[in-house]
Amino acid sequence: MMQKLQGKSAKELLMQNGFFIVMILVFVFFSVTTNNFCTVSNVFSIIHSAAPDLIYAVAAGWIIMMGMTDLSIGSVMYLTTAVFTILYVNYKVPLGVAFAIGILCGLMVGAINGLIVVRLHVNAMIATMGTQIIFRGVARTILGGLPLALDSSVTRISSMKFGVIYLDSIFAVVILILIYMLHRKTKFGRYVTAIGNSDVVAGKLGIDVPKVVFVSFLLSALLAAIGGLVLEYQVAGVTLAFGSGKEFTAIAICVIGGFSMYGGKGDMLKGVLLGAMTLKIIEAGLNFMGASPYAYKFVQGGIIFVAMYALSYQEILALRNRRLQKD
Amino acid sequence: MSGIALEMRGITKNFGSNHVLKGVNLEAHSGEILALIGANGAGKSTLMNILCGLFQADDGQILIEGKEVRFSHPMDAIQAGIAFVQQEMTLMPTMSIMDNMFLNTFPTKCGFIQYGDIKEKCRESLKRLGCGYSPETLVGSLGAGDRQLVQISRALLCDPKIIIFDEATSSLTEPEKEKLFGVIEQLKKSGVCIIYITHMMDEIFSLCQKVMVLRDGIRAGHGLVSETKHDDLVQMMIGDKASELNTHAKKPGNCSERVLMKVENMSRYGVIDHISFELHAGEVVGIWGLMGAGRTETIRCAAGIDPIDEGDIYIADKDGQLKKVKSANVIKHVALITEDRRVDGLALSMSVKENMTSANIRNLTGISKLFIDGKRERQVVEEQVKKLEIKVADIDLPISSLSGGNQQKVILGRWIQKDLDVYIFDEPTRGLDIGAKADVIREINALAAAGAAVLVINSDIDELISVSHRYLVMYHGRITKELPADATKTELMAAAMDLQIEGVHI
Repeated sequence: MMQKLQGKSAKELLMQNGFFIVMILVFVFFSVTTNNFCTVSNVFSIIHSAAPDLIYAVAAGWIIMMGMTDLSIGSVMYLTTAVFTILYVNYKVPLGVAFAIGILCGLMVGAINGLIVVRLHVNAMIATMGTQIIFRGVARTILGGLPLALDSSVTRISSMKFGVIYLDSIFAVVILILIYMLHRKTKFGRYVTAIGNSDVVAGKLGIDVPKVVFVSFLLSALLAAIGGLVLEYQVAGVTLAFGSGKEFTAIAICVIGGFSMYGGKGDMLKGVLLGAMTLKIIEAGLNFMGASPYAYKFVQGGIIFVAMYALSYQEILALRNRRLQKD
Repeated sequence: MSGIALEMRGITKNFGSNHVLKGVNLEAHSGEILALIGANGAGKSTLMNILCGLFQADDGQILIEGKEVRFSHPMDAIQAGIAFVQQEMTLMPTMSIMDNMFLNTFPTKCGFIQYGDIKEKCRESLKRLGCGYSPETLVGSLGAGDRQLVQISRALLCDPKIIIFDEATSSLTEPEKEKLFGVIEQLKKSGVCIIYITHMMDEIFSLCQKVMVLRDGIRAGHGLVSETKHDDLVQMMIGDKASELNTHAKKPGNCSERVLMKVENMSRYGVIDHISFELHAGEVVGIWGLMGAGRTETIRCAAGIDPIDEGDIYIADKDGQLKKVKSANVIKHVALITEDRRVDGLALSMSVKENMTSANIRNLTGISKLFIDGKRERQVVEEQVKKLEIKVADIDLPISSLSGGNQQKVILGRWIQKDLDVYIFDEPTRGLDIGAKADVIREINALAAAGAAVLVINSDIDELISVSHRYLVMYHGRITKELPADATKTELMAAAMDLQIEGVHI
C-alpha cells in the first residue's frame, strides 16, 4: 500500500500543474504555426486585451472561494457602464461623479445579492440569476435600448502605454495583487476560505458567516463594476449585449486557474492570471490562424471540461491518499 | 489535588418530548482527569455541548471556580476558559495549520494578520505536542492523528482551565494515542481540569483518576477510578440486572444451514478491517458495537454502497449456489434499509406509490417495455399496503404526509416486492414511536421466518436482543467477537468495549 502513496505518476503531475503546461504548449504551438505571434508587442497586446477579464474574473473567484456562484457579474458590468455613459455623454455630468454613480449602482446590485442570500437564504446561484435578468432589463431601459459610444478623447487612456506595457494591464494586475493580499493576509480573506471549507464549522468557530458573505457580494459587484468600465474604455462604448455571458467566462477562467467550485481552493493572483491568459492566448492564436470566430467557443468549451476533469481527478486522488495515510 | 474547577448542578435538557438530561450533577477538579462514560444516547454529548455553550440547558446551574456562569454562545465558554476538542473534525482542510489554529483569534496590525508572530507561536505549540510539521502545511495533507493534535493545539491557545476531550482517540493509531496521552498527562500536571469522554475501558484505568457514568440522562454512578472495577462500570452503564431477565423468551429461530450471503476479508482502508461473516437462511444477525465501531460502514460496504479495497462478497443464486459478486453489483441482490430514511431512503416529494415501486420499476413496465403499466403498479402497491398494514388514505399522497413508522414500512414494501433473500437494516426503528417500532420488529422477524437472511444494526440493546439469533460484535473497525442468541446484555456491552469480565464466561 505504501507503494501506492509514493511515486507520482506522469498523469498526476500533469493533472496538478496541467494548465500551466497547456498554456505554454498552446503558446508555442501558435508561435510556430503563425507569423508574428511570438513578438513582444503581440504578447503585451494579449495582456492588454485580458485586463478587463482579470478584474471581473477575480470578482467571480471571490464568490467561488466561498463555494458559491455569482451569475450577476455580466449585468453589473452592463448596468455600471450604462449609468456611467448616459450620465457622462447625455447629461454632461463630470467624469468622476459619473464614475462614482455608475459604481454605486453596481454596488447596489451586490448589496441586493448579499441580502437575498443572507437574509432570505436563497441559493446564491439562483439569487444572482434573478438579479442578472432584472438588472439587464433595468440597464436596457436606462439606455432606451440603444448603444452609446464614448468619445475617443476619453478612451484614449486605455491605449496609453508605460514603455511597452499598456496602462490598463498594470491597473488590472495591481487590482489582482490587492485582492490577493486581501485574501491571504487579512481576517476577511481567511474567513472567506474558511466558509468555502465549511460554513457550518466556520459558524461554530465564531465567524460571523452572514456578514462575510454579504461583504463578499459587495466586493464582487465592485470588481465587476470596475471590470466593466475597463472593458468599456477598450471598446469605446456600451452596446446592447455589453457584458452578456461574462459571468461564465469569469467562471471558466477561475476553473482553468485551479479554483474548486466547492470552495476553499484557488489562487487569486496566479490562478486568475493563468486562466485568463490561457483563454486569451487561444483566442488570439485562433484569430491569427484565421480560424472561424465560432471555433473559439468550441475550444473554450472543451478546455472547461478538461479543467473540470483535472480538478475532480485531484479531489479523488486526495481522498484516496488520505484514506491510505490513515490506515 | 487542588480545588474544584467546575460544578454542574441539576442540568436538565429536553428536545421536544425527549428528555435527554434529567438533572445531572457533575464535579471536576483542577489537575485531575475525569472520565465521562455511558452507552450511546446516554446524554454525554448533550451535557458537554451545554458546557461549551452550543446548547442552553432548560434548567440547572454551571459554576466555574465557584462562580455561576451563563453561556449563550460558544465564544462565551471559550472566554470562560473552556476548550472542547471535538470528535468530529472542526478543521478547514484547504487551509494551513497556522490559519486553522488562529482562525478565530488572528492578531492583526493595520488590518493585516501578523503572520510572523503566529508562525512562531504555531511552531512552538506544535513542537510541544511533538509534531514537527511546518506551520504552513495544509491540514488536508495531514493524517487523522496530526489533525487531532492541531485541534488540541488550537484548544490550548487560549490557556483553558477546563478541557473536554470527546472520543479523542477514536481515529488514532497506537503511537498517536501514546503521544496524545503524554500531552494530556502534561496538561494535568500543569493544573488543568480535564473531562475525558471515552468508550475505551483501558483508557479510563490507565489515564483517569475519577469516573462518572451517565445512563438515560441521569448520573448512574461516580467515584475514584482506583476504587472501581470494570464490571461495576458496565453494570452502571446498562442499569439494573433485572432488565436482563426480559430477554430471549422469544425467537423460534428456524435457522437453516443454507448460506445466503458470505463476506470474506472485506476491508476499506482506514474504516473497516478484514470483516468476514456468513448469513444463513431464516436468521437475524445483529451487529452490535459502540458509536464509531464501524457498524454502518460495514453494512454499507457489504451492500456495495461504499467501495471496498479488499475482500470478496458471495451471494447465493436461485439454486443456492454461492457466487462471487462484484462490490458495485451487490446492491442488485440485497435490500438495504438505510439509517436515515429521509436522506437516503425516500424521495420525499414523490408519492407513496412512486416510492414503493422505485426499486422494482423495471418489472412493472407493460408490453412496450417503455411505459409503466399503471394498473399493475397500483395493484402491486395496494397489495403491499394491505400486507404491511400501512396507514395511508390514498397511495398517490406524498410520502412526506406519512408518519415515520409508515414511511419505514413503505421502504420495506419496496424491497419485499423484489423477492430478495438478503435484507440489511441500519437502525430501522430510529425515531419511531413504540407501536411503530413493534411493527417494524415484527416485520423483521417475519422476513426471517419466511426464509430470508437479515442483518440488523440497532443501537438500542433491548431491541437488538429481541430480534437477533446471533450477534457480531464490532470494535475499532473489526468483528472481535461472535455471540450466540442467549448472550446477556453484560456480555454484549463488555464485548463492545473489548473486555473480558471476571465471572462472566464468554
